[in-house]
Parts: sequence; C-alpha cells; structure tokens
Amino acid sequence: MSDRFDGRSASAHRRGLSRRDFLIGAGGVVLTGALAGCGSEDETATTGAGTGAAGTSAAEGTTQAAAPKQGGNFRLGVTGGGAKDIIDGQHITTKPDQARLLAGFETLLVYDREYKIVNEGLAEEVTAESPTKWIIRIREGIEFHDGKTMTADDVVYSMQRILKPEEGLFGGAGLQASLDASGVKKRDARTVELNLKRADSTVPDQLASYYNGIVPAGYTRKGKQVGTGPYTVKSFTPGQQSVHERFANYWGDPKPPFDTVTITNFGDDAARVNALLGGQLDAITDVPFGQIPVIEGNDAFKILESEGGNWLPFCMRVDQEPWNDVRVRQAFRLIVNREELLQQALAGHGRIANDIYSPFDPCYNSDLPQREQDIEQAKALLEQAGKAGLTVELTTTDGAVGMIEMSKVFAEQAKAAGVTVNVKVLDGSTFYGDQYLKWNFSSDFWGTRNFLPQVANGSIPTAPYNETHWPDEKNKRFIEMYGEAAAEVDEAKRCEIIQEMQRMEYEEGGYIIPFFNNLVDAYSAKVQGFQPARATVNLDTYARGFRTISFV
Amino acid sequence: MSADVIDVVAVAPDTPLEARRPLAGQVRGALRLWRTRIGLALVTMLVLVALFGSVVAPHSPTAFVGAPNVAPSATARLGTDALGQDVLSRFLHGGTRILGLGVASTALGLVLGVAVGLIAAYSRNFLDDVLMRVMDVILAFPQIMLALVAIATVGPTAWVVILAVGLTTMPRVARVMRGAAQPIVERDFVAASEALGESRFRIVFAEILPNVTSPLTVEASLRLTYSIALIASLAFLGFTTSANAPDWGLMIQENRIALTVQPWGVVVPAAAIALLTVGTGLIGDGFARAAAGIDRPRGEG
Repeated sequence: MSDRFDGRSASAHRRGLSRRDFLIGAGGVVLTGALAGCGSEDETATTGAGTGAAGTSAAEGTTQAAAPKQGGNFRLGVTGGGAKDIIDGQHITTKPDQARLLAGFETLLVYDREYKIVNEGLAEEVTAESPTKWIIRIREGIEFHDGKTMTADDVVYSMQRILKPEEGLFGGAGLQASLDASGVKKRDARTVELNLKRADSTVPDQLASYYNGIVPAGYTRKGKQVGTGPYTVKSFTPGQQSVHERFANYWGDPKPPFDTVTITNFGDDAARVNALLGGQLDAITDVPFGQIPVIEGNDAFKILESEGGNWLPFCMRVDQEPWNDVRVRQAFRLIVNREELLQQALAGHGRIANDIYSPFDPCYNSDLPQREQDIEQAKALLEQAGKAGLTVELTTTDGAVGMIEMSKVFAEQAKAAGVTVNVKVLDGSTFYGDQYLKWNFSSDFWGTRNFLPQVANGSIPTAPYNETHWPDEKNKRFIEMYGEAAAEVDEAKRCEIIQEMQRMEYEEGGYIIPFFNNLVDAYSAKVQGFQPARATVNLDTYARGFRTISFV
Repeated sequence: MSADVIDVVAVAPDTPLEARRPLAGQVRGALRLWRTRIGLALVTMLVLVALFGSVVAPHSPTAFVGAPNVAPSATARLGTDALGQDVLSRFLHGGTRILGLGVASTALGLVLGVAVGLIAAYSRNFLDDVLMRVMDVILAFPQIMLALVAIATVGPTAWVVILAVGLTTMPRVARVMRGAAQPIVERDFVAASEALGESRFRIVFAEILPNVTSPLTVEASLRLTYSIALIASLAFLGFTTSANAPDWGLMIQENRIALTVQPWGVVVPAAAIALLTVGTGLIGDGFARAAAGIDRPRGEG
C-alpha cells in the first residue's frame, strides 16, 4: 500500500504545479490566466478520470456524460449538523456548513481534482512580486448576489476579516502568522497587495482553501448572505435544511444547472441512506461502510469513492503523563496493526499511513520506513519507561465515519502489549465542548491540507486545533523550522526542511496516524458529473458549487 | 403484552384476602398455566445461554475473524459484525451482563420499594405522605431519563447502572406495596402484635410482608421485564461498561446500519431480548392470574 501511495504522491508532484511556480522570485508572475487553461474543467476531468489517480471508483468517474439537463431541485443529504449550523462565507462549524458555503461563496484560487492549485477562482492572477509581497489581480465584472460588482475593496475586507482574531474564523490560523490586517492594501480597483511580515509559501494554499471565501465589504454573518457563488440563499433553518436558488448572473462556466439546491442535515446514518434509496435525496455524503453493498447492488445509485488525504489520528498529549515520555508514544505507535485497523474499522476504504500527514504535499517524506506492529518492542519500551501494564482512557466520539470503530479495534490490539485501553465514547457536543483539545488521549479527524498549512492549524502552539500540544520541550526547534520552511522560496530547500519536520513528528510526535481514509459518498444515477477527486471535502467537493453536476 | 392487566391485578387492594393464596399455592397455580410454563421455558433457555454461552462460543467475543458485516460462513456461523467479530460468539457472551444487571437492579428496586411501601402503609401518619410524595416526584420523570442522567454524570459502571435502574424501580414497587399493605395494616392480627409489644420492624417485615407476597411476586416479574428492557436500551444508546463489550443491546446499536446486508448481528440479540422480556412477562402474567384466581386451566373449577 505504501508503494502505491508514494507513487501517487510523486505522480501528483510531476503533474501538478509545484510550489516553485508560485515562488519564482520578485516580479515572477504565477497562476495567470494562461496557466489556468492547463487546469480547465474539461482537461482536469480527463486527467482525473483517465489516469484513475484521484480515486478508487474510476468507473463512476468515467461514465459517458449526457448533455447537462437544466433545471430541477438537487437534494443533498449531509451527515451531522445541528443547532450550531451557520452560513458564513469564511467559516464553518459543522459538515453541512461546508456544502452551504460552497453553494454561495468562492475563493480567489481553487484546488482541482488532483489537489493542485489552479486559478479558476475569483483571481485572474496571483503574483509574488517579492517573497513578502503578493499581488492579487481579480477578474473583471464579477457580481455579488446583490448586484454589486466585486472590487479590490471587497477582497481587502474579506482578507482583513479572516485576519481578525476576534472573528475566530477558520482561515485565520493559517494567515495570521505571516500577515497582519494592515498588510492588506488596495492597489487599484482590481488589484490587492498582501504585504507579509515574512515570506510565506503557503499563501496560495490559504487563498485556495474553500473556507476563505470572498465576501462583500461590510459583510457579517448575521446579515444577508451575499457571495459570488452559483446559488443564493433562499431559506435556512439551522439544524435542518437550507434551500439555495440559482444566481442568474453567475460569472463562471459552467453555469449553475439547477433551479434550486436543497441541503438537508441527517444526524442518523441509516436515515440518510434510506432517504437516498427511497428517492427523497439525489446524493448523500459519508455512506456507512456497512451500507455500501446495498447501494452498489442497486443500479439506480452509484458510489463515489475518492482517495482523500483525510486522516483519523489518535492524539497523545505530549505535555501530560504518560505521553510526555517519548518511549510511551513510540510504544503505542508500535502497538498498532495498521492493516488490521484499516480492514476492521474502515472495511479497507483507505490506505495505510505512517504517523505523518499531508500525503498530497509535494514535499511529503516518503523515505521514512513504514512503521509496522512490533508488540515485543512496544513492551520493551513501556518497560523501560516504567509503564508496563499501562491503563489509559481513550476518548472518542462519532465525529467521522470510523472514529469509534478504530478506537475499539485499537483497544483490542493493545491487549497484546499488556496495555488496557478503556474506550470512552462521548456525544459530539461533549467531546467538542469545553474539554476539546484537553483530552489526554483521544481520536479525532482531519481533512486534507498540505503540510505547512496543516502545521499552522494543528501542530504548533499558535495552532487553533493542537490536540497533541506538540511540540514538547525537546522539539521546540520544530516551531522555528515551520517559520523557516514557510519563508523559504526555494522549493528544494523548503522540502528538505519539511521532510526533517516530518521526520521529527514521525519519531517523536504525538499523533498515531494509522491510515488515510477515503471519502465514500453516494448519488442517484439520475445525476451526472461526479468524479473521484483528491479532496478534503466530500462529494467531489460538493460538485464544485453544484455546477459541475446536473440531472441526466 | 399484559402489563396493564398485571398492574390492575397487582394494585388491587380490594381483592378479598380469602381469595389470595399462600405463595406456594400461588406458584402451583401459576405453573398449571401454559403461559407460565412457556415463560419459564424461554427464560430458562436464555439464562442457560447467558451462563454457559461463553463456554461453547467458537471464538473470543472480541477477536477479529473476518471482514466487517460478512454473511454467515464456516468461520462465523452467524456472520460477522461491524468490526469483523463473530456474531455468534458475541451473542453467546452477551447475555450475562444484561441478565446480571437486570436481576441485581430489580432486586435492589424491590428491596427498597417494599421497605418504603410497607413503612408508608404501616406508619399511617405524615411519614406516609412524605415517603409517597417523594416516590411521586421520582415517578414523574421517565425511568430512562433518570437513568441516563445518572450514568452520563457518573459513568456507565455496573454499580451505577444497578443503582440508577434500581432506584427508579423503587417508587413503582413502593406504590404497589403500599396499596397492598394498607388493608393488611388494619387487620386485627397487626393490632394484636402491637399489643404484644412486638417491634415495628418485626410487625412490618414478619407480619405484614408475608401477606403481600402475591402482588409482590407479580410485581417482581413485571419489574424484571422492564429492567431488562431498560438496561438493553441503555446499552443500545452506548452506555455500557466497555465500549466493545459483548452486549445484546450494544450489538443492536453497532450492527443496525448493516441490517439489510448482514441481519444476524441485529436479529439474534434483538430476538433474545424480546424473548427474555416476553418470558418474564408471561411468568408475571401467570402469577397474576393465579393470584387473582382468574383464567384457570380447564377442569380446575
């Protein structure tokens, strides 16, 4: 599995625009409109399906598409959600929020189906004039839902809103390290400058992250939801449902095909699947593995399985007993039988990982030896640490498909090393409540990000979701290296730093990452256009704002 | 099925004492009824499964014997569950907890309920009102809600489950016991015992209690039925002592998503819980009918 995975990583590197394309020095123009042609919708689709690189269900992605049918109400069922649901062009709290955000808001750059950054977003070009000065040139004549034309003022407002710590927005962590709100300046009506505090190679990643949408100047979450996306909000009831109407003046191509898109929350897995099978929905996210054969056995429905870089880690707090002893962390990593965990917890819908994240990052360190189960060594390490016969509590919740299952399987595997793992299953609101990020030993889930943006979100003290409280005292150098890597304009040198950082986490980090899980969704055969994709978000990234799909 | 009937019979204090049979006679009468025999057969069968199932189980209940949700095969006679564990082995191991906790919590509820009910009936003063109003307050809340609060607060350990279920069973038993004991308290032999200077404890538990065994027997079987259902429900909601424990209630919850693919992981434990509750219900019904002298078999007059 690791060879196959490494091959994909290398393949992505060859085909994709490398980071060097973004950082070719002062005055270098990157991601211009000409380059955008390389990642046009048609060509991207051909690459993704033709090579089968982006997913495992190639059959679904290569079916001959009929002419898109205009109109109709596309009904989507999304897992989770609740009273905390929001619509905000720059923030999410639940999974249905993702779908709603993508229906109404767009980013300056976008990731394509190969997880390459392309400028099919609101920016015509993004340029690094110098390592610390980025220039964003926006497209001309793009309208917001309220009829106002998008200008540089809106982009400045959007960026500054993301950067305000008091807003607590999802994209803040990634940008705040290198950019202050005062560094975002309007140059002319279509041009914005980002004057960085220090060089930052992750800027394109931030601009392409789906949650960093562009909103009009003066936008607030409580106000009218106005974006540039293909659909406007017609109605929204948190915890239940939202209805989105086609935006007639949408700028992009293809145009939104549906009259309306209805997004419904489904807390219960069985109910969601039954609603699809019963014809009340046209597509659903997160098919429970036990239900996949049911859908596969019915010609009226199709499974969309994408090889995501998503990961479900066990999180060991490196600043607390017993995890503050690296030998205990290493022992627990050696207890894991990754293949068994993948087969039993995910029914094989994923691929083995090696305790480091960001598999789609061009700098991913695939030279590290694949860690295998070694009970004897685990026992010896625990013995050395004076922790033989250790008992720990593993806190988990039904946050993502497989989280509880992997915890149960791991608890069984740990018995072989004389370790007792008591699995404590909490409801989501408790797990992600006040105690979140304070659990001593827990499982969690993450979407796909490239390495440096992921570090900014989860692996340094300023990260908003640092479950493991990494790095410990011994590895404080990791923080400096993050700054160095982000500032490094030479891709080869940056990769060297990143790979060293990954080695540090591989050897001493607080995560156990046994596998990368696939995204498994399902849809009616009456819908066409879905393709397997390397993505962080489900259902072909919600069919790119519900534009690249249509009824047959 | 007959909970309402049983309730009516059990709390019928107006039943003439002459019509009530001594316990042994009541047992004999109940055993003459087919419903009691069927109930006993069902309960006996499932108790045997719970006691000896682990001995004959082909695999460890937590061993991974195949892929998740696989249909029955030579390796796994009833297929595998959501984690690839043997459904048959988990079923055979899974009855101990539900039966053990059910019996223990019911016993606790009966002991406390009998004590409260008889003391309230015998006191005939403000203590009666205080005790019964406290019972009313507890009764005002759904039993499962109180149990959930207790377990969510303290944790799903065995003793918490027993305490939570037992304490919420107590007021139901107390109400029945008080109703059954009130006419007894007014009988002359109680007054005679008081005149002889017997202690209140002895009067309550040695003089009055033996005269309310008939409704108590019925109530015990009824409460056992409800306790088993409640404990299974708590397990279904995930409140078990161990997240991967072989438990019939938990099995239903874990495997229901694959019901159409691999039904045995749900059908077998669900059937066992259903048969267990039906069995205890039939036994209780039989005792209730025998105590009330109704529905006697043909030829009994």
